[in-house]
Amino acid sequence: MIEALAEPFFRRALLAALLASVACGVLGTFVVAKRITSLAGGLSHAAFGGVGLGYWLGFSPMLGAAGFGVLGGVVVGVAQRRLRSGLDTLVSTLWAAGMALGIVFVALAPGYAPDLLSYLFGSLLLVSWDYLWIAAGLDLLILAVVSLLFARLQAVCFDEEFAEVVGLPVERLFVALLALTALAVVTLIRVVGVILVIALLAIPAATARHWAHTLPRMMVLACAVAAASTTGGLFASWILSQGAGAAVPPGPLIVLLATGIFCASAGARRWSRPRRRGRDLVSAAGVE
Amino acid sequence: MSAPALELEGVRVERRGETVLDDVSLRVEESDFLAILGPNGAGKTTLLEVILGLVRPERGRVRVLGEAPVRARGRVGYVPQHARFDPEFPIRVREVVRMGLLGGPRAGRADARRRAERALETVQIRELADRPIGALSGGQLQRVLIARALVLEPRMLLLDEPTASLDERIGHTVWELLEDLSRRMTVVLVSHDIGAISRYVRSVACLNRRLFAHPTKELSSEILEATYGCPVELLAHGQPHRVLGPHEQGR
Repeated sequence: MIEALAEPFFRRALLAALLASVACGVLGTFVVAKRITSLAGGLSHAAFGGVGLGYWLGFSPMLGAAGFGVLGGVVVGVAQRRLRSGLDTLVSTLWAAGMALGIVFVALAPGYAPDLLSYLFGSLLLVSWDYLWIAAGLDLLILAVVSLLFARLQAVCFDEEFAEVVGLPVERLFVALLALTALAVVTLIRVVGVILVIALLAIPAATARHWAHTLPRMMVLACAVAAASTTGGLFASWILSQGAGAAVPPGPLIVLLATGIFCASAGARRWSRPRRRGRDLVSAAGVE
Repeated sequence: MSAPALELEGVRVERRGETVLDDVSLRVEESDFLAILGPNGAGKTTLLEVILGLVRPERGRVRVLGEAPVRARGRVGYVPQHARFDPEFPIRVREVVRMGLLGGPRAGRADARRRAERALETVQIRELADRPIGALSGGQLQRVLIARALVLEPRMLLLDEPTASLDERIGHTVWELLEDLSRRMTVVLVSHDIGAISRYVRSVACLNRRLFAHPTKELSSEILEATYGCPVELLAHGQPHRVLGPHEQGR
């Protein structure tokens, strides 16, 4: 396992995984606490449209993904408070239309798009230094905005109505949150791909919620779970290829590992708090 | 005499073509303790939204502490009907209470902490500051929401169904707290719960799209019938604030 670290590509992959873990831990916490995971899924698939556009017009697909993701976030964020019902329809439409646009754009692009699959399923082992710089920059941006707006974002996520009563610009804050989520999605696309991004946004944060009673603690824990899953998945992929000669990409292994940690955590919590009061059981049954 | 705490004149609100509030006029003096009663769907919550400046009436005039509702926001504490938020949300009592400070000028960390402690002390749950909100009972949660509304030291407190989800015993302790607070600020609440209110509040108004009684201490069964659209059984709770008119032969 240690010899893996001697490989430059592996070191880059590890760095990429850790950088993405920061973004997904911080934004995943908001996504899970506000229960908008399907919305985040819609954004990540919308981002694929931007990947396709980048291929077609010859600019960076990551840039296209960021643009489409943020645009999708603005559209949904503005629509969310105007549409009383039908938000889920809008999100599903965004989800499917983004994918469709991506495929159409790629088909229009001249020549052959060899690493299209890498955007769908991730290509952690192929990341370049350029990507690492982008991911580091996005992490810094995300951390800066979240720490600046933390109290307000927390209020909007916890109790939108009250946030409005105290005069917060609820809609703009929610749009900002979705735009940041879209940026986190961009850092994750290379790690697990468009299709599995939602797993890394949701699972580490959901695991963290088992143990954390505040958003900041949940963020730290979620980052740790994400880092453990991505690192573990990466090494598992290496071991499988060295030991068994099987070329299993790290993305799915990362997701499976995160799922395993989630299940173990859920079991451990149940074991550590054997009897919850009836009221808790009722409320838990109502929301889960 | 100073401006009334709350003044509504001929307020009319429509939602999706339906009239929710019609010609509502109301005047609440400073440090009153007013309950606005009405059945479900009477427009009680809408009325609160008008006072908070969340809903702009089609017609009529609203003055809160002598100003337009939006401008008075920082001086009005609001306690929503609870359970509108997720009880599983990872947040502690302390952070929920501090949320109330977002409506005012930026407070320093130490100042925010001190204000939150003071608000928690006022509602007598200082020891719960570090509890996650999911671990609170209904009565404790209601006190947290009241503390959140008090943290900016408002001049008026608005409450939506403050005891709707509490059992009678816990409800009474919340009423006592509100009565206590009403000595320091104007308290206005909406509720459909007639029985509990009558003992604690100083004035009562009845709402069912229109306001049926101007604030009064005397609540007659005729007014309630007009409000609820059916005969209502009245139970007199007696002192300290008698709301019901004495029976014909009463003293």
